[in-house]
Amino acid sequence: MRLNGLQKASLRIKMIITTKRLVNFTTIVAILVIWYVISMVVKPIFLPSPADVFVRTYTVYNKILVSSILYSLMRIFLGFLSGSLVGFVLGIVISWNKILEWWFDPLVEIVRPIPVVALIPLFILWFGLGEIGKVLLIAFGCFVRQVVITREAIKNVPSVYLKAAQTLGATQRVQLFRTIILPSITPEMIGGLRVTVAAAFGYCAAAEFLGAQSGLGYIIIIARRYLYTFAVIFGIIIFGLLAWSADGIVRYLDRRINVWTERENR
Amino acid sequence: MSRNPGTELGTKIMIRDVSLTYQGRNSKHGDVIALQDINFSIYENEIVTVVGPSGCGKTTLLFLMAGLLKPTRGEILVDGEKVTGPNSQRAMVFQEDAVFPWLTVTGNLEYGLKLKGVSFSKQKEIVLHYIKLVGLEGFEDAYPKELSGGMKKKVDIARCYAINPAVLLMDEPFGSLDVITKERMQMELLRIWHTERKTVCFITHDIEEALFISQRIVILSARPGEVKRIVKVPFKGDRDLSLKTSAKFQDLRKELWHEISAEVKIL
Amino acid sequence: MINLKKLKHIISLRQILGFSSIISAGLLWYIVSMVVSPLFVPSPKEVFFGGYDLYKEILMTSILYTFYRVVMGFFIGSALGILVGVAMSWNRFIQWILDPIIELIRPIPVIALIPLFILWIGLGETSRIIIIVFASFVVLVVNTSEAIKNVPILYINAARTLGAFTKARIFRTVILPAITPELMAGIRIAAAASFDLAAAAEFIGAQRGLGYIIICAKRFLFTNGIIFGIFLFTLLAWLTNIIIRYFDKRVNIWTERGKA
Repeated sequence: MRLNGLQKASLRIKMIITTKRLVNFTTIVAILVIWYVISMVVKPIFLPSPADVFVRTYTVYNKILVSSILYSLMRIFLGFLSGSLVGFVLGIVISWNKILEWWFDPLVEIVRPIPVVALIPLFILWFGLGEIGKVLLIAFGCFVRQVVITREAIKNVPSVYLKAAQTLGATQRVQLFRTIILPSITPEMIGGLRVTVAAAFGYCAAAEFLGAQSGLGYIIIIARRYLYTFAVIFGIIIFGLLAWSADGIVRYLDRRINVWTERENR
Repeated sequence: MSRNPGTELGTKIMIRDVSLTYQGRNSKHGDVIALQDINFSIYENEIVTVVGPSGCGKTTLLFLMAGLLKPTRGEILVDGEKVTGPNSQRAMVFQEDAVFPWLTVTGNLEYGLKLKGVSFSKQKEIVLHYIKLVGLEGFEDAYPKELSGGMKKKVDIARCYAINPAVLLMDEPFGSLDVITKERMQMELLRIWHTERKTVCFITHDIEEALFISQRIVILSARPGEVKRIVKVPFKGDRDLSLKTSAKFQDLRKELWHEISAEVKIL
Repeated sequence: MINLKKLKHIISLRQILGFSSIISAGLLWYIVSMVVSPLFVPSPKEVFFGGYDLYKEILMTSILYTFYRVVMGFFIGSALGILVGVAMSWNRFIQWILDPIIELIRPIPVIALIPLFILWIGLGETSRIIIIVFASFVVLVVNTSEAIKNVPILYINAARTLGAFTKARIFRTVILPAITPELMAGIRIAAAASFDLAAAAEFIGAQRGLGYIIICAKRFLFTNGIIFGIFLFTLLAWLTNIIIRYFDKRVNIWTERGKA
């Protein structure tokens, strides 16, 4: 079926229109337009215009804006890193042999369902309103998640790999862990990392809402008290952008590290 | 270490009075006898195939030889030494895809060598040699995801060969391949084996495969698995696929088919 | 002589290890509480008995309030999420519109939205439930559309060759049953998130509920009350998880679930 020039052109345009990037871009523009229109109609306390959100927030908070964002990022980064690392190590310890597994299982199952946010008042009592408490809370949340994720990933290693490695000479547990288990769980772990990162942002927001004197969440909660909706929305957008970027970084790592995985492209 | 001199008739593997019973969990599920009184030997540099109905314990026997399972009674000796656990002397090619997907072909072949502490240059030499032997030149840096099923099996075989094991154990290695690839792989295995002799114990339920590649066939009965009969395969070493359609081959196949079929109780 | 083999059948090593780890954790707690001031680490007795004493009048109502919020929000949110997810897979146009919006909202941590919801809807009951509805909704929409995408084409083709012609029939008889395992996983995630959100929402300004108990206790520095509240929260979360897992097993009796 030969396509004439016009059909070819329209096909190409169709292809460009439906690419994800352009759709996203158009949606953002569309949303901004709709937002603007609605904000004209509705009271600014409910929906300030886009201009308000960005300009007014800057004017009101400009001194502490950047430092707040940095404070939040630092907490998330430190908490996530320490919590995930310790969680990862403990996840390995738990899966080392059956005895350790059976010992730790009930403890893990008890700690697992604790809503981390519910711990915030306790942490405030213990550590005050300073940095340590918040970082520790985020770390704890990431820790629990990471232990479970690591444990699951190790359990899911196909046993045929372990058997094959043994018949190739890897008879010690350490060898098996280092050469088989660690490489084979990497894809699953990085997938789990995305979830943990997203959770870290949530915990940070909660911690900063309830007991902080600095940070992005602090700005949001203070703004709410003054009914500065524009700042609230601004803070939310920033949170979203930061979380999205963090997710993007993990996804990039995923592509680079897991070169060998078979990707199912749909 | 009592090692038989490298004569063709030296005993490589000796299986003595081996039985394996799975302990019942409680009074409801009694003990299950998987294998009973298995006694036979495999000689140096021969290919022996173990056949039998499903569930007769063929794979269990192979796992016992590898050291991945321990017998409840009896012992298995390889080169005169008792088997107590898995090690690189008894390399195994599994039924499932066991090639490590996170390593390239070269990486996979190097795996066992690294564990042995072989020097870097020697590693390269050995790896190159076996990639050539199995016919995977050009794929040294390919990841398993880029390879076909048959090629992955070749990597597996090369990987085992690279560590120079005393015996090579193969658990229905070609079971998941399509018919044409399977027959090609059988030819390839024979070719590789002719070039570098190894003692091989092969498991399959495909009677033609067994007749085609081995020198002797051990027939196991249904559970509890016992050695029913050991058949000496009369065909000469130089075999090709046309053998499969010869009259003698087909006669033997029918004979074995009936013998094994008699053991299969459920349709 | 004690029949050791019979004993093995009654108590397994697994149970022994499991029990002893819990007991040793409890002992550790007790020892630490003896050493450290009760402001930081109250003893188990102080937490459970003392906490109960402190709040026994409002205990039942608090638990019920929190539970009610979570369940309502999470039920409605999940149901809506599943419905919209199905709608998105059903109709290309709906997907075309909603997909980018959802992709945009997804990265935002839902907890960060709480102050906005409070601004919009006030500090009352509704805002708290709406937040949980929203969070469950987002989780389930994404979950449902992914699950539907992952249904093997094989099953759909098989159904078609067996006589399922209409989209509705295929949806009803093939897709919906096939996605239930993945849906249940999503529901579990939504439930867990709902408790986090309920806690946050109750901390920010509730007059009733477990979060309220915790905040009160904190105001008076009753650490045992705080921990007691956290314990109750965890108990609820754990119970909900058990209930969901029960349904999970019932509904997914056909999936190949080997024992881990």
